[in-house]
Amino acid sequence: MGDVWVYIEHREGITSPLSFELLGIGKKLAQERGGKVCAFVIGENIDSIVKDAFAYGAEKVYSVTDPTFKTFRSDLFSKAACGLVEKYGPDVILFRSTTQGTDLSSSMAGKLNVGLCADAINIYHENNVLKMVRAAFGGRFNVTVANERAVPKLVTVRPKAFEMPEKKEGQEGELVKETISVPESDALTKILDFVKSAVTVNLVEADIIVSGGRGVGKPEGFALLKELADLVGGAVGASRAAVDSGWIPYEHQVGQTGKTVKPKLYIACGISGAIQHLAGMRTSDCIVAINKDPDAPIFKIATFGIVGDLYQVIPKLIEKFKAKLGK
Amino acid sequence: MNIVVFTKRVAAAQEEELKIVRDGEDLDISKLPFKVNDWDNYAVEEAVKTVEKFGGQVTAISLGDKESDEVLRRSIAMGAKEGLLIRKDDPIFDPAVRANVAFNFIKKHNIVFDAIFTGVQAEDDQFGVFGGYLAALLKIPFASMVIGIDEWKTDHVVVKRELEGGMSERVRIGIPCVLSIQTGINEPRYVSIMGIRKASQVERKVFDGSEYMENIRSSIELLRWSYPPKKEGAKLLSADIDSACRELLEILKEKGVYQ
Repeated sequence: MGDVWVYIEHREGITSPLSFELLGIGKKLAQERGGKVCAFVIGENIDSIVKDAFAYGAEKVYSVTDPTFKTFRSDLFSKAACGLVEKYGPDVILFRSTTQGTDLSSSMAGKLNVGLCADAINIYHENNVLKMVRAAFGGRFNVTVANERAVPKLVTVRPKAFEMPEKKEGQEGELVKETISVPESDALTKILDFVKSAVTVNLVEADIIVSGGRGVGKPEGFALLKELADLVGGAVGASRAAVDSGWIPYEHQVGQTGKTVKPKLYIACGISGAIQHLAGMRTSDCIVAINKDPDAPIFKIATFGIVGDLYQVIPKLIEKFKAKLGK
Repeated sequence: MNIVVFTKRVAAAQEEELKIVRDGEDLDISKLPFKVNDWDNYAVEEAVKTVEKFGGQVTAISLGDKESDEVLRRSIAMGAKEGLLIRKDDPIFDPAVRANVAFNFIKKHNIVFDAIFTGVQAEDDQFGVFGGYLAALLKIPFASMVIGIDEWKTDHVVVKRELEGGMSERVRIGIPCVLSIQTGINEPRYVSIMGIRKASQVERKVFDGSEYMENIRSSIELLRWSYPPKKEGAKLLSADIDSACRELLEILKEKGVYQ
């Protein structure tokens, strides 16, 4: 048993605190395995990311820097990462199950030809066996798996499945700088440009989501939900029914074909709770459902419910909330 | 232009009853209806659209039991030239094993392609690993979450990929490559019963899946099925809207939304 590595994702050097979230569970697993929790970072200018990785608890950081690693590309990054793995032999590697984490881990798993457990919602040791729990069939079942024969064991973890580690500024550790360069001519992919959609909403990172479904009934209803979301510092989500009706762009969609989210608070307005929607939000910490239909399935999985018309409840809530804030 | 599309037949987990059996060792899905994986439907459509525009042909491949022939017939009805079934009656849970089988199959039969399309993920197990894994085994580039194909040249394609937070990127990627196709990239064409009947007349070749299992070094072991912690159902707030909102504000405060 040995070290647990955590991949620190970034976009051209930019991170969010959640980029470091797995250092928390990584540390716990490393202690149980008698190893160290290590971060690995690949990029161009990553000094501040390395510093933050130590602050969030990494005991050791492996860094690979080269201009070819400026932007994430799965083929180049996985070459660098596999180079590190072959040299230092970690035991477990954790990634977030984001697009980048999934791309890198599946490419690495293929190169190393080992199994990969994707989108774990829990990881623990039992009798020295690393066990991972995944959700299946839209979250109505959990399935526990092991990957004991794989060296290393690659796991992607659902964002926010574990507590954020505490950040201690100035905390230090051992830095291992590795030079792995891949000539640009070897790169089979080239990023031409980034396009920012007219809609920028980061549902995966949001702590509060105010979401609307078929019951919203019209595009203007989402302006009302946006007003509430802005007030509470949250993001606006939507069910597929609302997106398909053209009331709100696809970027807002939560559910099986949209984003899987796990906010602290999910306010579901006029969402009946189809299995495909529940698949994307049922693990939220607290779910408040507002729906006219007392038999709506959403009430079965919600924490709190209001049986009523969202067009009466939301304006009232906004009014009271503003009064509380003294606005 | 030759495009190979992998398409999977999956259990449609809608509202039907699913049961855990044999003390958590297995899940009884026999009562469920089966269908083509939603993502693969978009992938087949995109492949057919691409060859309609640039020429070439689409080959649909499915890895599964004999009933998976259904998704091959469907692909042919949509415009695929041929359908190949890698028959494996015991379901393969681990995408790493599925990718290895696909890799061995492609190598053994010397299948020539410019691109392989897969869906971003399968609805049943939601791994989303197959495409990237297969690309790594084949040592060819991979782009996931493809939401548009802008350009198709002899040695490269330019695709648009969906990223998080409302961002997307345009990538130039060398050919041959693997692309995983995201839902919403197109409008999959309607497939009529007549169309499927006609497609049935096109021969689908069947291969014995057990012949492509070499070199599989490790696989995920499935230990136990369980139900997630049961939720008690929502605690209903007051029927009176005014009081309900007041209670809700208290909840928001408790959750740290405001002080």
